[in-house]
Amino acid sequence: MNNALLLLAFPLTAVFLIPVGTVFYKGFGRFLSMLSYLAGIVYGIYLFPSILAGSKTVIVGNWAPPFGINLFISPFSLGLVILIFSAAFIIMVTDLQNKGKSGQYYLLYTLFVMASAGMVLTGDIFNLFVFLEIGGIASFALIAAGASPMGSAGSLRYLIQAQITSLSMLAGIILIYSASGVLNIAVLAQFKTFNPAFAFLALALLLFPFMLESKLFPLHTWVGGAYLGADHPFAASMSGIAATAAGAVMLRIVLTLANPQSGFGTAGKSIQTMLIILGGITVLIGEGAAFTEKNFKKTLGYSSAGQMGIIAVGIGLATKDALAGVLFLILNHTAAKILLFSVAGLFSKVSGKEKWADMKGIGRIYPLPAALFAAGAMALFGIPMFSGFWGKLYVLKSAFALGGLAYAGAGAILLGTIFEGIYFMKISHTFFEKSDISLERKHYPFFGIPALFLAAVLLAPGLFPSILGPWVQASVKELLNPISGYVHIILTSGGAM
Amino acid sequence: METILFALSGLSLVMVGIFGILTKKNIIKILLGLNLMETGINLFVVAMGFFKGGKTPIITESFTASTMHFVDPLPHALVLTSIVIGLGTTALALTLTLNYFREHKHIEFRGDNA
Repeated sequence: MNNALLLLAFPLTAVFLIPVGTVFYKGFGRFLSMLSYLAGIVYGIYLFPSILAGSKTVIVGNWAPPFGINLFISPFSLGLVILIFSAAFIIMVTDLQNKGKSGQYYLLYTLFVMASAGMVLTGDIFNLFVFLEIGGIASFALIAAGASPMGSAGSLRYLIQAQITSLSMLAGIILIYSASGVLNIAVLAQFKTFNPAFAFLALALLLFPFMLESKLFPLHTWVGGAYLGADHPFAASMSGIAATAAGAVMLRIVLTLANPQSGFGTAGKSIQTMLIILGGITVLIGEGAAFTEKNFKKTLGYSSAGQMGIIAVGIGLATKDALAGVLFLILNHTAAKILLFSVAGLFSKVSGKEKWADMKGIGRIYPLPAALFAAGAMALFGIPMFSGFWGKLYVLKSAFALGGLAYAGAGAILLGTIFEGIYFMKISHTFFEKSDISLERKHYPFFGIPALFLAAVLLAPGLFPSILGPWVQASVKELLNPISGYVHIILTSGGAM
Repeated sequence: METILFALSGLSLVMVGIFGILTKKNIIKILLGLNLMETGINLFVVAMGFFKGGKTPIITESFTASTMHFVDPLPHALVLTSIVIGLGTTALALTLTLNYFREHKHIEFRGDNA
């Protein structure tokens, strides 16, 4: 029974059917892609209670590890897959107003969502590379499809940088394979005889593309062009979906492959130090760039880099508290960025402007969206009552408890947060400033409902963090005990589905 | 020795490719650099499965367990996947270059285009 494969099969089936259906009905692409995300959400939620009781592995094609590919369905991976599908569904709902998109757009978008979910689930590093490339090719095309004159320039820059990093990942994969003869993460986690320098090189090469996707310094230079080129829904997906998947893969590789009991042991510690340093620099550079940027989409893109920097610091700290914080931050970042981009999309549409400074007084005509923007900004900033508060609090608490280099990371996060607060307050204030702007007020029902839902998602875990408790505890336990959990379940094929 | 030579020639192609990507402004030349880099990595992958005197990995009746002296076939399978991905990316990149040319009337990365 390979039922959990359906999580990837739903969107993949949609991808194959969309070109056929679009011939008969133009809206088929949107309809089927949304249906496949909904199927993924419903099926994921249906599986969730049994997975919370015990993680399971799916052996593809009856080739047991280390020979075949396996998917790992655990509270952590299944939770993030549900988050990815929900994000894709909500982004599609906020975009319902826009009627002009072709079937190909939805085909590529569904492929991108499928690849992101696959990256979170897979337990094989070459399979990870294939999913990364599928997602990558879909994103290059989607950025260029954004109908902005800058689309092709931003997309080409992203393509060149992403290809260099994914080729280095291929080199890392083959180095690991030549030394060990296996590609399965669970088997590799038990390997004992790597030279520390070799292990560090191989792991760093393996992590490069995910550092690029999560916009970590110095691999963040594509952000400006790509966000400028993409349309608002896809810019939201790059922040909400691609960065979530990249964060999940970094968590899996750093904590499972590079755990102290494996052959990568000492190299794993160096990788964690590297993530703390790069994460700290990314927070400062990302928030600093967002602080000086005037283009709305670019500002939000750079702020996303800053948030991923905090997540990288949390992964580098790798304590129980820090990882709980990281999970809160991932959820918070996904929901808040979708909300902010949908407001940005609405405001650019009604005002015809691209810079937030030109949208003075728009909040007096559209008070609800502007208020929701302020709420999303406060969630990213980490004001109490929002889930971002718990995320930042746990990461900082853990950093101050560890001391040493972690102090520098904590300092960078605090300094970055000040910048973040200033520019988000400036933008929110601009919306409510008095001006002679005159716009006719129209109703956008497809904006209001998902935006209010997202605000609720940001508020609920902030007010009652215990609703996420079982998921966070199970995920942190899984990530911190890779040998008795992840490796044991896969190698004994325990709980095979 | 042969494996090292094979791997080093692959890696030197990677270096040529990186040099091209870093120094050229013309998009077509950058893409050529990217393709050189990709070919280099592919050769490196194949080199990791190679050893001197290795035979083609096809099992026939004349082989027994003791005379099987095969090169590793798995890197070959990986390289096939990688070549296909490279083809797709290059085709997409060239299409994007065409779009870029239509918008900017030149095919160079200059400081003025995001």
